[in-house]
Amino acid sequence: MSDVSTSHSYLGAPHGLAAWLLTKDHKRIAILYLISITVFFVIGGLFATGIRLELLTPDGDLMSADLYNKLFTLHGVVMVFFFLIPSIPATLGNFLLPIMIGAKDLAFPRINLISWYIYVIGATITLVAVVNGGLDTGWTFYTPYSSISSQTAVTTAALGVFVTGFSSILTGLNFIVTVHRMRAPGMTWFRLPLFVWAHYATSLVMILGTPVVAITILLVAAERALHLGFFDPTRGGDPVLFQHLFWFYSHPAVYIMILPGMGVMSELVSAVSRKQVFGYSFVAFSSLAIAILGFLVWGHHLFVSSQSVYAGLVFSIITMLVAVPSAVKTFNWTATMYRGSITWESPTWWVVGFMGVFTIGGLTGVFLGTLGLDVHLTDTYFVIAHFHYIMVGGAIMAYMGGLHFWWPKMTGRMFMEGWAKASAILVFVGFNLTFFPQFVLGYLGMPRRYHAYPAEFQVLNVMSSAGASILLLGYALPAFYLTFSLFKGAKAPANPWGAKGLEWTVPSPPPTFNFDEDPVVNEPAYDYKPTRKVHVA
Amino acid sequence: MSLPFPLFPPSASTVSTEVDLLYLFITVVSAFFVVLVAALVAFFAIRYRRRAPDEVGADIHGSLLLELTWTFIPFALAMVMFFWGADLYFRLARPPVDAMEIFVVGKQWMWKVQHPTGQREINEMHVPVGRNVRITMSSEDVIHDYSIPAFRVKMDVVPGKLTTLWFNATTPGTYPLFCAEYCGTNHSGMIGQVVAMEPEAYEAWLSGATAGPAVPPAVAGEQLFTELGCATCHGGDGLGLGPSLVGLYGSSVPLTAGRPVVADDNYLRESIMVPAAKVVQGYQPVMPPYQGRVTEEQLLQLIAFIRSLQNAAAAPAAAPAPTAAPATAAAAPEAMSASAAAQAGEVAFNRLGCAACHRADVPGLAPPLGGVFGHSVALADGSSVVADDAYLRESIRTPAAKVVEGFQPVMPPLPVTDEELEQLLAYIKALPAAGAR
Repeated sequence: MSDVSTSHSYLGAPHGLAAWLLTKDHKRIAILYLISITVFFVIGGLFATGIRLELLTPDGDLMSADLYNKLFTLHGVVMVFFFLIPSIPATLGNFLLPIMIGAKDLAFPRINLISWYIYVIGATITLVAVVNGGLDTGWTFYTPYSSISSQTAVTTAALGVFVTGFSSILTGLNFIVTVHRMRAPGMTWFRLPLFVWAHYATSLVMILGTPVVAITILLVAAERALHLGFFDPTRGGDPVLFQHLFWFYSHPAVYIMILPGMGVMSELVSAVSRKQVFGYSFVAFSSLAIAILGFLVWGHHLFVSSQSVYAGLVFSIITMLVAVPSAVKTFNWTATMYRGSITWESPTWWVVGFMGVFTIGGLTGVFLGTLGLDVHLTDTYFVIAHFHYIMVGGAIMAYMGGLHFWWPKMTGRMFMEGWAKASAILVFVGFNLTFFPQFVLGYLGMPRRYHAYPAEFQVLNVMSSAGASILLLGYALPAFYLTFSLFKGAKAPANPWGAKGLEWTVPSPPPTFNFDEDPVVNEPAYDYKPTRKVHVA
Repeated sequence: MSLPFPLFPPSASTVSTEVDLLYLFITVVSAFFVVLVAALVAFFAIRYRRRAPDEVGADIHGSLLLELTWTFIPFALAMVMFFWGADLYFRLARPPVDAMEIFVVGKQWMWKVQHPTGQREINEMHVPVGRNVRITMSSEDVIHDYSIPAFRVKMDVVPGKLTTLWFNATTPGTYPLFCAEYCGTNHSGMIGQVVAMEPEAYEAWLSGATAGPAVPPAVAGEQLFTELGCATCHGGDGLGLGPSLVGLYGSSVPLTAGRPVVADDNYLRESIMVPAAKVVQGYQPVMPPYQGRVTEEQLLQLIAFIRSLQNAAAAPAAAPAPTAAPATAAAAPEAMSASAAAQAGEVAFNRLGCAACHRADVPGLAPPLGGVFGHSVALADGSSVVADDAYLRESIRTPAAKVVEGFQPVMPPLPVTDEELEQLLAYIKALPAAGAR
């Protein structure tokens, strides 16, 4: 099975732009998403570069305050809504979920294509806002600044985010139906790869949370355009109500970003150790626990907002509870490596990097969930550092690891190992140098979203900017060696890593309908047995 | 080895050491787990590195005991952090009753500070050390946040409500003050400093801080109370159109709808800005909203004055009573001359609080009445009517029947006797026309 010609691969006929833009193949749609989110990752990265350059010096000397405010706003909007939320689910999830459960495609292939178009339309609307006045509300759109004070293109940008939300809802719907209805014979719920469990939990959050933020953003637009008083106190509104509605989605949205990354990690840890994931059911249920509890913690963003102190008490204790399943996952991944057969190939380097930074990201969330301490830390760079450890250190590190791990499957080509390891190291070092100093800055009291800052914060900011330049290099490298591999890379065998899972039983790249014969599953996930040596192609 | 940057901000309040301790506790616990996980991952990656291309790991599926262990230990540690943090938070949320109060108003992009003795500052706040200081804050536009890292305190300043924070500074010095909630273009310029001083130095600073005489907020509030005509209805005797405000602050107030509320700062604020939101039992929703008519600073002054009405027994004169002796007017003899009737009408006019809205000098909530008799009045429904006796009688007894153009139907129907009605009419007819207007 290892040496299959690419004649009937999904990358083969039909060729041409129309065949790609009108495809209903989940794998091609995944590639469309991969290209689009990469474009937005680059745009968001450029905005970040502007921010780090401005913060090299305490004075606001490189750009105007208004431009700086637009840069950090657009960095957040682009990275969250147009890169992180679709990143793993829409690319790796789209590509792998049907194959992993033994299906020919997602349950609704046309809806899958529509969701990509909706994403592109929403993203385009937001780009129109970027060039047509920009946006300076912060990605959080807090009222009444966004609804009565900001002079930028808030309504257009909000419309873009609103539209893109439907892409997310449709993808979530598609995944849930697919997991329920399309599993191959013998693929029971507890034989599902943990990647699928994580995407199932993510999809629940997508379809339950996204409508709330969509409506909230519409209310902001309505207040701007029609002067209705939802959030403006002079018209009888409540500005803090917006924060409740916004975080009711946007905190769960953090789990939309990190849960798929946790799913990737479960696959990678198991594959690089060639060992059953330790405590499979605990890892699976911890995903669901995170998805459910994640809906009940939004108020921890509001501890100093004038929210009732008793509400703060409840939100704090539930925040503490949500830390537990994340800790359980981390310990299970670590235990999976115990007595494994651990490869030192490039995916391992991303796994090790993820474990290091994700643990810090998760634990610093506990600092912020602790009421009396959050009063000092909230709205400072400590918060910035914390969520970048989760979103960049966690989600993007997992995304990069997954992209490398499944790249041979997706493209049929091997990349150069040495470069991949170099990229993993640069990202790890650059990331920590960028964001670790920000924990210190936050404790010292430097507020977020500051265009200029007191001179005593400069050393730490320069360290951060220096780290960002290394991080930039770490992210730029794969663009070259992965692209290079498409043309000059060695042909990938069906199972280059010697890993378990249905996706490794089909050729690289897979045929259009994934399986030549309908698969039947008769073993649990990750069934590495010492008695049954893996076949390395 | 010394770092080129500090790890802690200055520690200058009674809570800052405890916040640092809590931070250190969580840092140590976190560092333990980060090092543990990193060490295990590194050790396993080396110890169990793959030695043959087709080698696989041991067939281990899990351990319930381990799962329970690493569920329970993080849970227990998290609960310790939760209770410590919650205890600290509750202390931070509740200002001591003996705290001196400083008013802060945030606006794009500056902080306006007023001391209890009336001195004002901008983007700077002088405070005495060793004393509980409560900051009551208000915003004129968008959400801001008053953040003093050296004291480890921070609180959002939210338009439409009052928020508070408190601290007790321990070390004299000058500390940064930041706006920590993004508020637009000059957000990062909305900074200043807090100067903590020995109490004597603070007193000396107060006496030299203002060129002219400093007016304490409560005194300024009393002046406003009179200027805005509040006193007309909210008389000290509680017999006016509005409830008495003496002893109101902190008491439980029965409402026409819903459960009683405690008259705290935000209740007072709402009842001034949007009085119809919570109407006191036994009263009509006739008070006009002051939203947009008083500034946030004036509002804080009014609240300071209303709070000062606490000690009613000690200072009964604090709330100016409306024009006294209504009983004498009611006892007017039957055969009354026109001017005597007009005089009695004036007394009734004031006693009933008409003057609060029907002001002669400026356009109030209601049309001025000078010279109205005999003239055509444009009504809200587009028609017009001549202000004759019948119209005036109707407008006093059932004001909603014909509402004057440009005004709201907020006047309550007045249950006056026929005699009082005629006196009021006489008074209104006698009023001089208000100049060229």
